[in-house]
Amino acid sequence: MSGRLLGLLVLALLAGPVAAHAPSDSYLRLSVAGAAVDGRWDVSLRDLDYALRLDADGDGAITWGEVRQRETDIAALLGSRLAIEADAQRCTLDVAPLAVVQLNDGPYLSLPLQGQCDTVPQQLTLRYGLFFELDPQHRGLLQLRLGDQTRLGVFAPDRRSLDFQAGVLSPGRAFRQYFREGLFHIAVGLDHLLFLAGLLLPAVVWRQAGGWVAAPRARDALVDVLRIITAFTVAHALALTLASLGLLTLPTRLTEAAVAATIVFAALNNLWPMVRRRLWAVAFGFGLIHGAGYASVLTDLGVSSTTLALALLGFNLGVEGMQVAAAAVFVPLAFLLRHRPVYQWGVVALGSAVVAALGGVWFVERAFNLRFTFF
Amino acid sequence: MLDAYSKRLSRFALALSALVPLIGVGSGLAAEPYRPSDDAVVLLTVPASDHPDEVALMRLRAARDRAPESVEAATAFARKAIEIGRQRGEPRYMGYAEAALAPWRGDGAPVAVRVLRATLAQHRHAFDEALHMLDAVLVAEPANAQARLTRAVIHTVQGRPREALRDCAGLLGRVSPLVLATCTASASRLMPASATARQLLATELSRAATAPSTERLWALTVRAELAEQRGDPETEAAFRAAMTEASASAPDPYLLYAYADFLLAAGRVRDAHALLAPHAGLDGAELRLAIAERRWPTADARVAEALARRIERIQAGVDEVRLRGEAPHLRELARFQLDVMADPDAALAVAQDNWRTQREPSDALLLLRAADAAGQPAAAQSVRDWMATTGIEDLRLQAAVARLARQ
Repeated sequence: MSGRLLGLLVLALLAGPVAAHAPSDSYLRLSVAGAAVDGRWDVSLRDLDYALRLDADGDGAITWGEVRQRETDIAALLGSRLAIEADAQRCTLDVAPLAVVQLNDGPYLSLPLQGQCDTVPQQLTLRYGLFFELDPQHRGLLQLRLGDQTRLGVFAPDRRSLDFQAGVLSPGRAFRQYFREGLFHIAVGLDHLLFLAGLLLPAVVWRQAGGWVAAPRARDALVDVLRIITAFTVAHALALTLASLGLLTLPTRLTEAAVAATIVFAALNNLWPMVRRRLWAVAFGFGLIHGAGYASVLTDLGVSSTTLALALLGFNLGVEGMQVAAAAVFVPLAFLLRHRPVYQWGVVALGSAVVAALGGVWFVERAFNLRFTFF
Repeated sequence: MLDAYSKRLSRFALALSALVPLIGVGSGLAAEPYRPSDDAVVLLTVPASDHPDEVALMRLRAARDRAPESVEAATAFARKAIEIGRQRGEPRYMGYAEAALAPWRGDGAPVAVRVLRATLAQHRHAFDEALHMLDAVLVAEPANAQARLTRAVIHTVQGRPREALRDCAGLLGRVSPLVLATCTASASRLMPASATARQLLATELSRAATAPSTERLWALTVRAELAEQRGDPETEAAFRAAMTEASASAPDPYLLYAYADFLLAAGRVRDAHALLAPHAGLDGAELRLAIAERRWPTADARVAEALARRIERIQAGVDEVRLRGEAPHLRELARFQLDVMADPDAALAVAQDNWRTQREPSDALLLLRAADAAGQPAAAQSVRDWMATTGIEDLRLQAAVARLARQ
């Protein structure tokens, strides 16, 4: 009866997959580091055409010109179908100009995304509502990088929002991770290495009254060095902790310039001794400055307050460990060579001069906001 | 120590394989976005807006948007979308149809909506869901021809000829004699060969020269399939006759694949390739092109290269479906693994899964061949049981069983 009137759906009954093309998917790739969101959203041009009728002249060919004319509509549609929330606070989300990308199953419009949240999220909520009212089989395929973990997710009509907990670092893992960060921090930080060199160069032989004095006993030299390094680390840890907890905030430019000044001072002190016996006290003072200068290291990493203490401890032990390791290699070697003029003049004097020069350049750059191009 | 090393290696391989879907997406994303410099660059070709299908669909979409609460408007649009989607092999249209039906949910939905929803479920291979909906419709409205016909087809697809025949019989007087004869002949493919069913189909075909093209196409396709099962020398002529019913540029995908499979089974690799090549945009064509290229009779670097690209595309498609959290189409996946990747163990596992829900002769043949290739004759026992129960006569199946018995 009704079948007769309308014409039966006959062929549509034949089994067999309809999948000639891939089903409708969009690919959302997001990366959340600290409070910043960065990503890319690829949306099939076929889907956008069905939603917005992009083929303006109806000739069956969608040109870049036709897409460009509708860029505002496209951005408005997409912008209204995606939201990111950090701990229930909506993050900003800016959409950069559209681009085209060829994926496995055809052309997609690619939308670079950039956003900022008010806080480093403990819970990240993503809301997605693209195309579901037109095609309930549409899916949003998510690849999210949150902290140091990658998560996958699928948005569907009955799953329009996905929650992700920022990886809660176990105390042990936090300690290990930040211990490594501490080691790394010294190993790649040129400031630190130079400052360390400035302190270590005269450990076994130093200037006095126009000549050179060699340390009589290796053990005493090593103890001296350790005292200096540890004083530096303790101060560094103290300042870093205060800064990380927000109890001490200094302008970055000021602290960075001060760090450079300490490098210059340490190097010049080797050539024209000003302080000798209480060098550890000087190191402590400099450690305070360095620590304040690096406060951003930990806040940038998005550490939760619960594990902050352990992370700080791990970080500072890592700093100390790497410094001790550098000293353990350097001091015995220097001790053997301490009577030779080539070490006294070639390494200690010349090295100190180079360190002082580099520190001086940094100081000028940072203090006066200049940029030299020769290194 | 070597043992520990190999264990570590295998664990690494396992971890790597878990990442495969991820890498699939990654490779998709690896393509770099760009902003074309020329406005005239054509990004995508779509059907022109004056294409008859497009005109009809747009008219129905507009009517539906004007009256979103109208069952008539919604079902008319959904029917058209389903037909176009199937013809173009574009799953998006199934989604558009589903969206139009969305306002009516559950058992209270109008019958017309429930029947179309069952068709969509069938397309997703959600056969149980489709049957459940159709059973309910037919209890409420036993005379609903579309529901009964759809159920007959699902019973046929799932290898239940008796139930299928019963539903076909229930169509008497409610559908054209051609549809009735086709329904019956289609179900008879799963039974002992019936000259009566074949004869009835031939008679109705000759009488119904002016029947709707879709009905004739279905009838001609079933006629060709019946001929193939009997090893009839007229099989190819029957496939060709069916092909002429639709336009050459847009053949019916189901028919196209059936014809190509016939050519592949006959070892006519180049013919199959030539038939499919113009329609490579269809997934089913892509799979069979890959099979043809794998079996290419001569060494040919271009063919090998085309095959490698195809394999990559097909795998990316399977990965994408998995990323969506869905199951890939098992029949096609098993064939891909058996005939393209030459991985009989994997193919057998998938073919067995497929056999749980789909039981047409081609599914039976697939499982028999996979069991043979994997050297596990016992794995196809359920096919032999099914053949004994239904009494199906199909030369290809009988030959495959004989090969298996020789193992």
